[in-house]
Amino acid sequence: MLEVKGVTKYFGGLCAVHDCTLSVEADSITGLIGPNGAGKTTLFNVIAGVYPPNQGEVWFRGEKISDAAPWAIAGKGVARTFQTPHGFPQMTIMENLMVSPLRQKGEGVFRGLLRGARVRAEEKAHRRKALELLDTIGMVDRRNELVVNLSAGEARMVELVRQLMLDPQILLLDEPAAGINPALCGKLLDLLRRLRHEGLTLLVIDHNLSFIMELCDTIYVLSHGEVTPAAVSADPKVIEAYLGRAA
Amino acid sequence: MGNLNLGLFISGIVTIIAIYGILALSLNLKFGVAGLIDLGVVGYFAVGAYAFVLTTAPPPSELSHYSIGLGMPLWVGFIAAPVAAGLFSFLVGLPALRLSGEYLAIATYAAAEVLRAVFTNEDWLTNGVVGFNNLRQPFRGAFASGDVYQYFFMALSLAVLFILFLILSRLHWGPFGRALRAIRENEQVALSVGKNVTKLRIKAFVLGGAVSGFAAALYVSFATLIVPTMFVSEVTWTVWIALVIGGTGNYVGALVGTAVLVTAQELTRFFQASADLASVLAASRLIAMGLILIVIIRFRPRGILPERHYVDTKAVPVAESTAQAVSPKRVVE
Amino acid sequence: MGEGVPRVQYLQYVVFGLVTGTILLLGTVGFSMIRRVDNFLNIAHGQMVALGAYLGYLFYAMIGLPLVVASVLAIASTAVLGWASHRIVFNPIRGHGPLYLLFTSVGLAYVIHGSLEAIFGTRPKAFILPEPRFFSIAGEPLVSTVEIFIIVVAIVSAVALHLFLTRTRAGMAVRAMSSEYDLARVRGINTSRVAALVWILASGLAGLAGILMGIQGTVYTDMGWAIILVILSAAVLGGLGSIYGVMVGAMLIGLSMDLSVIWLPPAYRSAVAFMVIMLVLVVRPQGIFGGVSRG
Repeated sequence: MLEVKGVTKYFGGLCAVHDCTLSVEADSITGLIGPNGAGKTTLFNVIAGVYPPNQGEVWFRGEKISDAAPWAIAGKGVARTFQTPHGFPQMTIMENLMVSPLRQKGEGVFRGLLRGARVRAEEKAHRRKALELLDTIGMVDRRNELVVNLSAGEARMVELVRQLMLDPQILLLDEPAAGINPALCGKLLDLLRRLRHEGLTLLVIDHNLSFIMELCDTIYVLSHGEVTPAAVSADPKVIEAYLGRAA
Repeated sequence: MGNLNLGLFISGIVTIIAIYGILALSLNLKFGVAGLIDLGVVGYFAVGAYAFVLTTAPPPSELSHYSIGLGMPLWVGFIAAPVAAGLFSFLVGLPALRLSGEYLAIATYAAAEVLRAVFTNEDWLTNGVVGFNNLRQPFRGAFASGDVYQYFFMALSLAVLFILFLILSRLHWGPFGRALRAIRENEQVALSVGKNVTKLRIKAFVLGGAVSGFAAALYVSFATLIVPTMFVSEVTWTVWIALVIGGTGNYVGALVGTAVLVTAQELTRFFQASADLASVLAASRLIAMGLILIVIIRFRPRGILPERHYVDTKAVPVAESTAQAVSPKRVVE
Repeated sequence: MGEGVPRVQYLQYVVFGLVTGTILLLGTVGFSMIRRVDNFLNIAHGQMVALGAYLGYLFYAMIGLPLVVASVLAIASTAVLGWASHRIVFNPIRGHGPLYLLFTSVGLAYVIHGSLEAIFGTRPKAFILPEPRFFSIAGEPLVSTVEIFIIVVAIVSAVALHLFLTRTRAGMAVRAMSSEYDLARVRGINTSRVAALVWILASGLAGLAGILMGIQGTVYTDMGWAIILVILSAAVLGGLGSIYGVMVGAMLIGLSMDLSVIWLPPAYRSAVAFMVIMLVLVVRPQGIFGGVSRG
């Protein structure tokens, strides 16, 4: 579904990601682990179009996306979360979610002003969906709070559901479990598994080994900017070995 | 000012507040909502003003230096002004909106200054230092008395202000305003939810420019004259100061700030005594404007009326939540 | 348009350009240092130039002190006032972010502008100097003693600044702080003392620029606004924060303004600076000498 082919990214003279190749199968949960500074987030940013790669290409569903703008890539069904879940700080949780859906008709000046039946119906549908998603993370009652006032863990959950509002085909999660307490963590695992059953493909970055092990079907290890050539089956010993070598 | 007519004096101030208020609404859309630091406010204003005058002024006579005067009805001017101001905004915004933060500020400031140089120096366009005088005023013929007309003009300006306020407020709380606020809050995240940031910014920029075109048409109608020296950067700063003291991101705040600033400035005219003191008073207006800005930022940086946030109070379907009814407050700080 | 203009006159425009550029350099370097250390565009910096010019006028033409004494006094007072503005006006709102600092500087610019107008009136003033001597080529006056004086003073000041920044402890602290603020603090540099030094230096240089402008032409109340626009242009051209880049930027802007007179009506002289800047921003936003400083 998602193919990263020989991607290399330099910052100045520094090589952040080197000749990285990986593929994500449809309906799978793929994990990407590695120590801090290994280039995981950089790789995400390349996939999401934030930085163009210096070399290599990214393909999604048979289409090259590595030369498209970030908003266009999101529009094709590739959503991503951010490691630091700032969101839109001075907006409410509800508005954070309502902003998300793609190609909203009301974003045009005239249709936004007139707010005809179609725009109203669209808004109503988005609101219903937002409430459903907030219900799954137990935050319906808090929908009018500003995102800037949330705890790190709460902000991370809002970050996740905000990107789900996009109805993506693949979701790239950047350390979804960081800062989330164990109770919420179980909820998060359930939610991610449920999403996969509903047909969403996931690519997850984390350095929390047990979290990744519990969640993912396929795991890649990224260290010093290089991804291991073949997918490693979820065998703890193999991974320990890789991580140990990297650390 | 011995035999000053208080009613007329106040109606004059209110008219100026309405006109500057429209400019403050425009800037609030661009900066308060969309986060664009535009220091070229006077530029779009000037383009709108000249578009209004050039479409409605009589064809040039042998004595005048200008060469365009279409002599069209005033309502054409009232359409031409926002269209031209919006068009000029588009021309400036297309390259400038690729820049961020202070670079956008400098580019827009520079654009307005270049424009001012053009208007100051191209006599064929602006009739030089003489400018255009005795401009026609809308519906002037319907009023026998100039005094009564001034009250009418005040009402007209307030009506235009009110309509633009309604339009911008409606956009603010809908999907368009929401997307702009999201871009202001976090450009990276806005991109990640598929917002074409550049396109939305240009829309806001052009719409804001067009809004200031209405202010321009009213302004020259009110003054009945136009000369290039009316379009100095002080106009830009006045609008910015009004917005910052009123509250960025809040359209009502923008109007409150304008009212406070313009009233404070115009009251100094009220106390005009002798010619000696007049220049000191003029200078004190500048000092007052600066001090108000410094003090507000120091002690109330979010302005008199800070930005409000949308509050969802509609009922939640019972199946989704056992939530209590949310309090009907629409405003949180 | 150049037909009929003697060749020497071209050289004369170059001289004008050098004078404009060197004065601009003194104004821009300080602006750029403040931008680096406190991270905002200080619009009031232009008023510091005006302040220097008016104080110079006060001490020289009104009180009647010798020019050198008057200049030193004016520069010192401008430097102190600049430092005071930093302490009283800007420092308390540092946490509000660059935009609010910029607006506050606009407020301060109006306060200074209004004060100058209230005290000195709106009529332009001139330093009354002894008639300058001209050096001529082929019978055409090329450069006057005043122009040579201005260029020499400005160059000496720039070199002195360079030596200060590279050879003294305090100067190196300024450079460290203006390149890496947090790093400087971690390394134990007293950032508030260095910032104070930067404001004193920057305002003093602005004061000097003002006096030179007064010597060269007239002193008028709007000069602070006029010069800040050109300073912004020179600073962007040189890459906002880079001290040496803006020196080159200032010279280029000065030369292009005065050489533009050969092809364009003189009234467009300052507009040329802004056109240059719009071009630079569109083509190369980080300035011609700057590193990446966008955002």
